[in-house]
Amino acid sequence: MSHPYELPPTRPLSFERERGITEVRLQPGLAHVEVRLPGADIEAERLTLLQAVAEAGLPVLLIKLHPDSVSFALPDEAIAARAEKLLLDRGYTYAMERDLALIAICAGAMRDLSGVMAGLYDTMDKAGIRVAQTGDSHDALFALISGTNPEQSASLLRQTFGLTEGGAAC
Amino acid sequence: MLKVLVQKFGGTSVAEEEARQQAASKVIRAVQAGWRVVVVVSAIGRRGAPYATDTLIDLLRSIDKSVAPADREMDLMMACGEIISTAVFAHTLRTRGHEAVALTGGQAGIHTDGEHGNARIRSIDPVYILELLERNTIAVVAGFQGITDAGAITTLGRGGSDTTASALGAALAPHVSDIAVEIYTDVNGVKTADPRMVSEARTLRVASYQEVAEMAHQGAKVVHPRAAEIAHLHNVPLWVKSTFDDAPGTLITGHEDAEQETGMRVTGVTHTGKIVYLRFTLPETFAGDKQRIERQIYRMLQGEEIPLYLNVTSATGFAFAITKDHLPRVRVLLDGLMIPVEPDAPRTELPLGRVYLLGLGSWAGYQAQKKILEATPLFELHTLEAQMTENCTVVSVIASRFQALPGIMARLLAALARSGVPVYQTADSAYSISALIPEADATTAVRVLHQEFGLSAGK
Repeated sequence: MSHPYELPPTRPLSFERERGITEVRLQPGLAHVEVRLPGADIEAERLTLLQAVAEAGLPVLLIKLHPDSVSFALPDEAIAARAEKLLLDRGYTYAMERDLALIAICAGAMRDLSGVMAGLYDTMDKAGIRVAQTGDSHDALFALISGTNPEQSASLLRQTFGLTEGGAAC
Repeated sequence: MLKVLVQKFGGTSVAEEEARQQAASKVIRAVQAGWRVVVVVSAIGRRGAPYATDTLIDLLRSIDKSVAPADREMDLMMACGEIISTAVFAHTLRTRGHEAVALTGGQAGIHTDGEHGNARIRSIDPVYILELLERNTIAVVAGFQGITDAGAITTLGRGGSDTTASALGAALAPHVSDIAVEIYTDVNGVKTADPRMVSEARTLRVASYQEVAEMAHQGAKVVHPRAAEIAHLHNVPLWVKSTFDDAPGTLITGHEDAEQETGMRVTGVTHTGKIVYLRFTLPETFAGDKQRIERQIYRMLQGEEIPLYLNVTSATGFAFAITKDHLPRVRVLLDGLMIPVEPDAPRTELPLGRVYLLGLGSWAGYQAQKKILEATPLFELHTLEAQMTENCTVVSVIASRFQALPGIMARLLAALARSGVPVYQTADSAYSISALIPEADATTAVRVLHQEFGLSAGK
């Protein structure tokens, strides 16, 4: 199974990558969970939770700390089911959302760019699609999105960033 | 067929006569070892030095500070630093008995698009360089520049000279029997951590393009990702070495080629500069408005080209980080900003809709706007006061395929907790996991994580 962060490229590359956004990739079938940690020592509780997830061998991504919770994404339904069992067995209160898609907005050097987040939110908000979480690496900004038609979301983002379907190579 | 080595020397390697001679010795040794050599040089020295790029820019700007120089003239001016450097370096080689020809980027056949200050290389015609190499002449090429089809000199933007070296390697590769690119700097390779923070930091023998690019993204000063990417795309081996010693350096190569060494491992620990973290919490009943507020804020910051990091969203709030140098402008933009949210259906009775009022730090704009809005209650007013954490930094563990190493985030949090380093937020990508921590704890955190992940020499 390839990890959601390792989405295959969809467009060929020429001498050097174009400036700005070069492609938008899509991986459906993810889940997202927010686990409530209401105790006094939230740092210890976070650690206990993440260690339990690690011991269960569950790959997770987009791990985020909140004032009274921790959230993370799960790469597929099988892992989501295992995570849910673990959370139930250990008595955690949680909210899990399934059937999400991970969008990767790719660029040569993400740190040199501004406005990618604005483009993402502009597009998703206009289309009425909720952004459940975001993350970034040197060559991509990731967004976990809801909605019944993730392909359409990816297509809208390609329009936003000037990448037409089957257009010029990156 | 020829065996060609491209050697790039940065500003510190050509700044002083002694350093230039050491760089020239590297070139001569390569020639003696049977390589035909292409040298790429940066401008001589840093701001204040007579031919440094910043000095040349200052000269142009000093004519009238109220008039910005045209991009074309700015590029022409900036390119002079590298051109002067090529003539000096070529002559240095000649004084040591080696034929050398100095070339501008355009003379070296580097063609770019017309975006001054950040041009992209469109093609490289290496015919003249190949002619020189056939004659056993060293080609000394000005880094960081090219030429448009219309003949205008352009500069390549960040990482420019590294990019020139890598691109020349890529262009020459199909015409020669053997090719390699060496980037010379003042450190002898890619390190597992900043040696000023971790004395036992070691030099990596091999690193993948992805590892190096992520290290740069997370704050390490290594070869520019653009140069590494070109080398990766065209399968050109790229070495990072020191001008000032003979250590073997680090080979940056394609992930597949280096699989045995770079697959599934922790590569290094980096930290970024000064970061400010802003967290906004919404009243729970109006969480549905959150995305629209985020959208407005991000659009406003985009207009000012302010990059955002560590974006986090949840049902009732959102957060992001900016670099500290952007804080004054972000304060001006966001403190007192009103974001109206349209009601689901048009209203004829008061309130006509909801307005969110942002407060940030000083509260001056916020307080002024609040008074006005409270005096004219056309809209339902909600306040969003940012929780601002200043003096932060991001410490990152660079890892390849760490998804296959379960618990790496738990290990990072546990190690930092044991050392008393608080973690405000985390982030993860395919190649790194990061923690937002107080800036004062940066050295402790880097040392602790370097130790935790067994990166010290001999481990």
